[in-house]
Amino acid sequence: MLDNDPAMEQFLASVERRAFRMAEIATGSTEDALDIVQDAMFGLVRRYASKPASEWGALFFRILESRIRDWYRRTRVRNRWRAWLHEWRGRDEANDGEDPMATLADPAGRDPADEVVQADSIAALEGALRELPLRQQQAFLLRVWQGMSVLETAAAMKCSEGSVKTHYSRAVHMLRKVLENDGS
Amino acid sequence: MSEQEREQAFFDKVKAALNEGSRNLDARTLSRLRQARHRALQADRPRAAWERYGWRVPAAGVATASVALLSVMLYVSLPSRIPLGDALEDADILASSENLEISVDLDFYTWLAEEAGRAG
Repeated sequence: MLDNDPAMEQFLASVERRAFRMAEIATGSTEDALDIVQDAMFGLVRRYASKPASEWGALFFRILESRIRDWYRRTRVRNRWRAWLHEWRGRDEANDGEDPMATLADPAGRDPADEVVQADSIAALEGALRELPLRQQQAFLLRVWQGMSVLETAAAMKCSEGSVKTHYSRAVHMLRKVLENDGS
Repeated sequence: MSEQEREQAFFDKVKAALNEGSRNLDARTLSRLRQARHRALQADRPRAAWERYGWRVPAAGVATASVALLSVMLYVSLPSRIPLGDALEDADILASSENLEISVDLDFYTWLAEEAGRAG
């Protein structure tokens, strides 16, 4: 990979803001989002720079989504140990340890319901997105914002097209319900 | 307005809000994204973890060792509600800094080709 490969630089520059926002919405942390985006950039350049540029988008977002899922996995582990330690120390801090891939909305600890009611439409949208389970959030952002097809989204999320359709449909239903009721 | 039009209006509004959010990133975040991009572009060879993460590698090592030591101490001294198998998996997740790196992803292309073939 050349240091100044203009095509790769142009590609990364074109996706970095969206990638950062996706990671930030998913993690609720600016620092973690920056780390995730940087890792995704490294992964693309190191592993896939020789691939046709037309494939970079799907590959980059696949790496990004993978990094976000890793973040959730690590957060789940940390939360489980933290809860266990707190329980051991006699504190009333339970953590049911459910699979965050399916259900965890916001490991950063904010209450999405509070965020949805914000007057600003961007904040309301982000709050509603954070309230979604991760897979729904990913499917929605990749399809609607990144403009990926069902097939491309399935590749990025490493799941079947049927799963993408299900996650996407549920996300749209929930977001419309929340945001249209909110008047955003 | 038809349902289809309402849905399209919803999507347009959502995209506009998301675009607005990404346009309004602060200067510090934009600078750090630019730095990340340049670092990635200079990654013309597989680099050791310490080159990419500097001081964080030894710090991560110390943290990992601490977690492992604490885990052992707690398991030895206390009745556990976390199964040993889960704990070992947890330790592996917490200890790994590079094992989540995506390898050359032949299965991705295989899968993509299969999906495309099925769709076609």
